Amino acid sequence: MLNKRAKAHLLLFMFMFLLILNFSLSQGDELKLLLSFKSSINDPSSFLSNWNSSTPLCLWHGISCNNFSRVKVIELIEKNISGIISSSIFHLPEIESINLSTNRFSGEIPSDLVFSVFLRYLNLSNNHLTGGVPNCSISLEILDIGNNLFSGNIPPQIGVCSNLKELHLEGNNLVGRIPSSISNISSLQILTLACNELIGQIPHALSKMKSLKWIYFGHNNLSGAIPRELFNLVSLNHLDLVDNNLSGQIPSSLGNLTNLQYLFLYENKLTGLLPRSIFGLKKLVELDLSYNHLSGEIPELIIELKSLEILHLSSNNLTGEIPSLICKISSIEVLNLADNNLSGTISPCLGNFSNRLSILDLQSNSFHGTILETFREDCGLRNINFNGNKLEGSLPRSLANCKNLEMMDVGDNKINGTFPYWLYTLPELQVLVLRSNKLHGVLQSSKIIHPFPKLRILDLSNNDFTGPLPKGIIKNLKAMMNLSEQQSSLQYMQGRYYYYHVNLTVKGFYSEFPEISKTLTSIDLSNNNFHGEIPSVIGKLRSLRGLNLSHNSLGSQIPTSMGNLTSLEWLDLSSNKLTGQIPNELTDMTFLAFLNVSHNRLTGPIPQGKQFSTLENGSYEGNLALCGFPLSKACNNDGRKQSSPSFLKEADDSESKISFGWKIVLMGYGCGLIFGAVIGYVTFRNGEPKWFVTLFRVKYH
Amino acid sequence: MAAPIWIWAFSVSLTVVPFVLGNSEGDALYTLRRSLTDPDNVLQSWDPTLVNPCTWFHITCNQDNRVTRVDLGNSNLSGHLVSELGKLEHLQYLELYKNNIEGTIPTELGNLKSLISLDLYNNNISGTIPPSLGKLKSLVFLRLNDNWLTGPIPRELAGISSLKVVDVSNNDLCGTIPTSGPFEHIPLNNFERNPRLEGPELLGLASYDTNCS
Repeated sequence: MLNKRAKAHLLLFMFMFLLILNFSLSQGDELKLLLSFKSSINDPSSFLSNWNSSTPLCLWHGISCNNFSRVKVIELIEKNISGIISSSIFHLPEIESINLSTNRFSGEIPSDLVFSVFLRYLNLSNNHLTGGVPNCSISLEILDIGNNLFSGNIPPQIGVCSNLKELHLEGNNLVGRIPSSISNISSLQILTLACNELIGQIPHALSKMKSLKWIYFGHNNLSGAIPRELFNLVSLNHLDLVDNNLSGQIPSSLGNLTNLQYLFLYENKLTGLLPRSIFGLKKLVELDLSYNHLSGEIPELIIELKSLEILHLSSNNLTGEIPSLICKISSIEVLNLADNNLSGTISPCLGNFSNRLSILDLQSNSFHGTILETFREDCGLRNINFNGNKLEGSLPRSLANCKNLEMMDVGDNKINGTFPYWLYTLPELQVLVLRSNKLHGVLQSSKIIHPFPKLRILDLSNNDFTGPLPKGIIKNLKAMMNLSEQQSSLQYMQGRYYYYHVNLTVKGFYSEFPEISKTLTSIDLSNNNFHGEIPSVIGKLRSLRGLNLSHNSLGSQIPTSMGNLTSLEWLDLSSNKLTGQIPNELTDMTFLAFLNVSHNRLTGPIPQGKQFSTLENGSYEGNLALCGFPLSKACNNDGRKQSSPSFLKEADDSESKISFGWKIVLMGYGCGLIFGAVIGYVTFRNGEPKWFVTLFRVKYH
Repeated sequence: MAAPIWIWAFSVSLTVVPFVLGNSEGDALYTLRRSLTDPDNVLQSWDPTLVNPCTWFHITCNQDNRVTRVDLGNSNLSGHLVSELGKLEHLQYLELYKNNIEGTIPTELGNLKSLISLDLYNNNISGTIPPSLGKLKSLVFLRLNDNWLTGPIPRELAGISSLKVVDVSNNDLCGTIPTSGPFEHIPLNNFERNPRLEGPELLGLASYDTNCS
C-alpha cells in the first residue's frame, strides 16, 4: 500500500513520462512536417542543407524553437527558394511566425487551410504565389501577402481575422470591391491594398476601425467620393489614395485627423476648393494633392502648417496669388505649385525662405513682374523652376548666393538684361535654361578660372545674344568632357520626393524629360545672333550628346575637331553661313541619329559610311554645292574623291550589270546562225562532203 | 439606345491605345537590352519604368512617341537579337553594325513595315537570311556583310522595289544571286567573298539553288 507521498511521486512520474512521450512523439511529427515542406521546394543555394534527421530540429537553418523545443519560427527570407509551399508547415502545432518573403515560391495557398492557433505572424510577400487570398485565423496579428500574383476578390471572410494589426495585400491582381466586412477587424492599424485593380467606393464602414494609422489604397480603380466618415479615424497618420478615380470634393471633416502627417491624394479627379480645415493639421509633414481638378485660391491660412516639409499642389486649377507670408513655413523643403493658374508677382518672401527650402517649382503659371527678391546668403535652393510665366526684368545677382543650386530654369518668360555671368561661380550648377527670353549682349569670357564646373545642360536658345560663341566658356566646361558611362547605375537628378524635369529640343523636336539622367549633356544656342567661328575647342566636349547652333550667323567652316564628339546623337548647324566642306572626321560620330546642316554655304562631297549612310537629303538642302549620297548630284572626280567606296554605283555602269538574259542568248544564237550559213554555202557550192550533199539531195548548179 | 454608348466607349478606349503601345515598344527594347552583353554601359539609360523609351540614349522617336531609330553601331555589344524587335512598327533605321552580336536574324524583323535601313554588318550573326525580310516594303538599305550567314539569298527580296543597296559580302551564303527587280542594279562585288555563292541566276530558265540550305 503506498502512502500519500509515494502516490504523489508516482503521479508525478507518470505525468512526466507522458509528457516526455508526448514531447518526443510531437518532435517526430514536426520533423515529418518540415521534411515534407522541404521536399516540395527547390533550394539552389542549399540553405536547407542541414534539414535532416541527424541534426537537432532546433538547430536547423531558419528554424527557431520555443522554450519547449517546439518549432516557433520559420524564417527563410531571400534564399532564392522556389516551388510550392506545402501546407505541412501550417500544421506545426506551436508555430507562431512564418516568414518566407522574397523568394520564388509559386502555386496557391489551399483555401481550406486551417492555421495553428498560435500563428501570429505570416509573411509570404514578394513571391510568385497565385490563387485566392488565403483564409485567416483569429490568432493572426500580421498578414503580409504583398507583391505576389494573388487574384480574385478580397474575400468577405477576411473579417474573421479580427485580431489583425497589419494587413498587407498590395501589389497583387485583386479585383472587385473592398468588402465592408473588413471593418470587423477593429484592431487593424495598417491596411495596404495598393497596386491592385480594386473598384468601387471606399466603404463607409472603414470608419469603425478606430485603430487605423496607415491606409494605402493607391494605384487602383477606386471611384466615387472620399467618404466623410473616413475622417473620423483620428488615429490616422498616413493616408494614401493616389492614382485612383476618386471624384467629388475633399470633405472638410479632414480637419479631424489631428494626427495626420502624410496625406497623398494625387492623380485623382478631385474637385472643389482646398478645405480650410486642412490648414489646421498641425502635424502635417507631407501634402501632395497634385494632378487633380482642385480650384480656388491658396489661403494665407496655409502658414499654419508649421511642420510642413513637402507641398505639392501642381497640375490643378488653382488661381489667385501665392500667400505673401508663405515663407513663414520655415520647415518647408519642397514647394511645387507648377501648372496652375496662379498669378501675381513672385513675392519677396520666396527668396527669403529658410535655408531649408531646396526645390521651388512655379512652372507654367501666370506670374508677372520681376524676380525682385534677395536670395539670402545661406540660400539652400537646389532647383529653381520659373519656366513658362510672364516674368520680366533681369535676373537678380543674389542668385549667386545659392551655392547649392543644381538647376535653374527661367525659360519662356520675358526676362531681359545680359547674360547672368555671376552664375559662373555656382559650384553645383548642372542645368541652366534661359531659353525664349529677351536676353541680349555678348557672352563674355569669364575671368573665373573654372566657370560652370558642373554644367551639363545649357539652353540659351531663342534670345538676342550676339557676338562670337564664348570660346573661353566652352573650353572649360569640364562636366561635358569626361563624364564616364562607367558610373555603376543609372541616376536621375532628384530632390526629396521630387524628380527634376526639363524640356529640350532634341533631334529636331521639343521634348519633355520627366526625369533627367546625370549623364544627359546638351548645348543649345540656336535662334540667336551669334556670329564668327565655331571654335575648334568645341571638340573637347567628348561627353556632349546634343549640339544645336542653328539659326545664327556663324560663318566659319565646320571644325574637324568636331569628329571627337563621339557621344553626339544630334547636331544641328542649320541656317547659318557655314562654308567649306563637311569634314570626313564627322563619320566618327557613330551615335549620330540626327544631322541638320541645311541652309548654309557648304560645298564638296558629303562624308560617306557609318551613320552618314543613314541620313536623308533633308539634312543637306539649301547649300551651295554639296554632292554625293544621299543627294542625287554626283561628285566630280577632281582630286577630291571620297575615301570610302560609295555603295551606290551609277545605273549605267554596264560592266557591273548582271542582267544579261536575252541579249547573250541572242548573241550566241546569231553567231551560230551565221557560222552555220557560211559552212552550208561552202559545202553545197563545192559539193563536198558528198554524203552530206546526197543527204539533202539538193541540186545546186 | 446602347449603340451611341458603345461608340463613345470605343473611341475613348482608343485614346488609351497610344499610352499602352508606347510602353510595349519600351518593353520590346528592354528585352533586347537583357539579351545583349554591354560592357561599355551604352544601354544604361534604357529604363523600362519610364513612360516611353523616347528619352533613352541611342533611341529616336517621332512626335507620337513611337520609336523611329535605334543607333547602336560600334558599341562593343555582344549577345543576340530578339524577336520582340519586330514590334517596332514605326522603326525606320536599325543600326547595329560593328558589334559582336551573334545568333540569328529573327524572322519577326519582317514585321518592321516602316524599315528603311537594316544595318547588321560586321557582327558574328549566323543562320540564314529570313525570307520574311521580303515583307519590308519600305526597305532601301540592306547591309548584312561581314557576318557568318549561310543559306540562300531569298528571292523574296527581289520583290522590294525600293531596295537600292544590298551588301551581303563576306559571309557563307550559297545558291545563286537574284537578278530581277532591284537586283538588276546591285554591283557584283556586294556579293563577293561568299565561297559557296554560285553567281548570278539565269533568267528565263529553270532557276535552281542546288544543295543550298
